[in-house]
Amino acid sequence: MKWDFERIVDTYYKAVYRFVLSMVRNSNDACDITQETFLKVRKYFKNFRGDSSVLTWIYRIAVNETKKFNSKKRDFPERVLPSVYSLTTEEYLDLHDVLEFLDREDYEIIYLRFFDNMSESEIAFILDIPEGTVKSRLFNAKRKLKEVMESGRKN
Amino acid sequence: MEEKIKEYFNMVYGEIEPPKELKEKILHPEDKKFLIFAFTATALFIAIGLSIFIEIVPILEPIILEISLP
Repeated sequence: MKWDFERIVDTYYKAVYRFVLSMVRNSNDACDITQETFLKVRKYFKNFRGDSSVLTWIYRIAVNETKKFNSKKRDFPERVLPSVYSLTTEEYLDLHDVLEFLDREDYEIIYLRFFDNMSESEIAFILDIPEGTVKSRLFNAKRKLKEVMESGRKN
Repeated sequence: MEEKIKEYFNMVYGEIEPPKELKEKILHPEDKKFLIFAFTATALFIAIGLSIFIEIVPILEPIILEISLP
């Protein structure tokens, strides 16, 4: 498949923006980092060998750009619980409390696994960490979440 | 459990839309650079113009006085 820059932007800029927002929690910073990420994509796309999917490759650039960035204050709004979801307010708040207190890398792993449906090897590539680390962190985070959800149900 | 986490992330991020101008900024980053360049060039031009004017006023003063004297 032949990719031109405009098509790459069109296909992925929303996903990249959301991913960056999940890391920095500030919409202006997320915009700046997304722009910087795509500047790098434009510059280096000729070097992309197709060892991973295009999105995985772009996410890895986004992670590196985010690391360079000194994040300003968080302005990410808390979501109002919409009625179309089956999650109860209590479940939502329980999950929110646990996820917000995970360290940044664990949160990114959970986000990539459950929001973007990335495989463990793709997550390892994006975050530049061993696949075993992804597996153990995912396991620990899920266990923590399960404990909180179950204790919430008992109370 | 996994379904609940998926649903949580869908609730938090699924409906977030990036700002409308973001795509244009990504596709045409040179516009921003051009604006910065134009602003800097204009500011520099005004500063040089002002400094020349300030330098030239004392030199022109006697000439202006001579012309304006009857």
